[in-house]
Amino acid sequence: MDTLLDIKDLQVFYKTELGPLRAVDGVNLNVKRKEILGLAGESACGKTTLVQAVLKLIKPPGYIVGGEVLFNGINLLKASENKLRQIRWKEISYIPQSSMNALNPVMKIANQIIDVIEAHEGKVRKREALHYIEELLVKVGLSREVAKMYPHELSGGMRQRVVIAMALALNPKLIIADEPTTALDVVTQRGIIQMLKDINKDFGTTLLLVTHDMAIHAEITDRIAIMYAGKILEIGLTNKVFSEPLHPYTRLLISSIPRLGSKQRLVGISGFPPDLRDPPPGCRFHPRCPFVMDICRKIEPSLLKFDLERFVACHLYSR
Amino acid sequence: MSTSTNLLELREVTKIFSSGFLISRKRIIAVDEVSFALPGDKPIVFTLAGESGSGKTTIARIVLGFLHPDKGEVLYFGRNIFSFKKSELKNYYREVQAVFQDPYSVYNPIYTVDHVLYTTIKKYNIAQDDYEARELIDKALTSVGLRADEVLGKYPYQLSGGQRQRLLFARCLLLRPKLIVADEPVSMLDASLRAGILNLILDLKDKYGISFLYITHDLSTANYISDYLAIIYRGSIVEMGPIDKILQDPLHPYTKLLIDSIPKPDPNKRWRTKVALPPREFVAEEIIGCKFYDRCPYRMDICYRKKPSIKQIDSRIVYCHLYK
Repeated sequence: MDTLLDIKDLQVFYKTELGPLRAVDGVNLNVKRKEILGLAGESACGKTTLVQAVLKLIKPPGYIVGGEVLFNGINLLKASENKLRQIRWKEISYIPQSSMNALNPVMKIANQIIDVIEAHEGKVRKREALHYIEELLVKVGLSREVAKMYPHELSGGMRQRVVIAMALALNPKLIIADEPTTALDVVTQRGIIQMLKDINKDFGTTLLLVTHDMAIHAEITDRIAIMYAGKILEIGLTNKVFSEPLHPYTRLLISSIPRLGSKQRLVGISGFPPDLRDPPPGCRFHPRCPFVMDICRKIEPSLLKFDLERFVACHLYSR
Repeated sequence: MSTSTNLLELREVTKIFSSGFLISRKRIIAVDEVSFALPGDKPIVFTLAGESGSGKTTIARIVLGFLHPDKGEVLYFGRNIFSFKKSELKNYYREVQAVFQDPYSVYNPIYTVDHVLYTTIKKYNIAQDDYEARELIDKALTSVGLRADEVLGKYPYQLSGGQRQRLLFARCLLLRPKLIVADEPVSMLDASLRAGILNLILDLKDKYGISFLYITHDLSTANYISDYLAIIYRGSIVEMGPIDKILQDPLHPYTKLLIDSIPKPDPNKRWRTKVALPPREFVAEEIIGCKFYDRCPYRMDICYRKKPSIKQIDSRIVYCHLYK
């Protein structure tokens, strides 16, 4: 599998009165064609900032400090606004967090999807477009009638499927979905997650799935990247990362998930994520790490290859 | 369980909300004849679980006295809370405390977090003087795993979500409650902090004998802390009993679907079957029979026509026509 999206040494900061907040600080990550890559990490670790930077959607006080985002070999960070507009939706579509609540309440579903299509393809014939939109809605398991409905007539799970249909409208190569199921109940969540998996399988659409929920990553992703305090700490095949987590943070994160059928005492992670305006020297996880060594306080570990598919940024594994 | 010894008992509690006006007026039965009880002789964690819109938060608000039910009673040690005298009500508000989902919105952002503790002490006259107040606060903070010097004097935004939630448990502790209604107390916290709050609930139950009415959509956290479980669907309890029994061998088709849909943190145990989501909104006309009828894989004719009655199976109850 070759690389579709290649993020190199990306840095995104936010301007604050107390100096820059280093939300994404030197991230290297590649998304392979046709895979489902999961991006995991707790709130405020920089996941959303990272994916927004990929589409150059960072707004002040945020700013991109440096790095490259190569999509099919084109550096998106250097691309013109015009070129970017062509790439967004057509090549990469982005489903932001709570986007199901961002549908226009006074516009019928079909017209909202037509808007998206026309913004990129120019004027389309209404009747043909409507037929196409109904097909799209059927693809995400909705009935054709939904095209003529308003958002308030739909439940949360249905609106989320409308958003997915919209993301599919222009046949993108890559879909970036940020917490697509967070506010939904478990049964609907399962339906949406399974649908994303089907889209990946049936159309070969690459998926970058961002969520804090490790169990969802375990259910559908092929590979997973673990992010903490603006850095990627570990990347690997999902089943390997879960069966043998390497980084102490990954280990603790997995062991802090309550499981059905087990009452084993859960261990949380003591302490708190660092203030990213003044991150600790060395490894950013060292103040909370149970295996901390002297070197961890001084030298930042880089993300190194552990085996064929696994990368980890931890001094326990540097030789 | 004799009723007089029950800590809390709901008897056929019903709450109806109306929306719209005149011709478009709609009645929504948010809570439909819900009955359950928490025993008075030993502390337990009782979980009320259901999806959003199932009525679980409405039940919490009724128990806390914020809402009056349209029908039915809420008994506290055998006495209806809605016929309490003023002094009894004050006592009830002291002994029954609440912790909510969002640990930020509870605080007034212009005061330091001490405010929420001192107002509680003043309102209920718990301490003789400032010295005693401080002593009580220190003790309560220690019990919830906080150090006074790391939280007192700080503003709410300076604390993490976990610290803010712990502090609210400390506030509850000051009042020595018998029952804490905890409505999704961990759903906004990260996994690493969640474990700490769940352990805290277990500690408070064991050390201080406090019972919990834990309201959640998340059966994995419920499994970790609860003794009893009631599953609620569209305002009605569908299954209730000891939690281990229900999770190991669910009886109601909705409970089965719910348990099977929880994502498992194990890539080797992925879902094997698919769920179909409804292609359009089910329009709830007057439902006569079972509310799960339209989604149930085992539906029969009788389910459409007749409301399932209560069935006792081993130590639990279920409302489903599959069981005779």
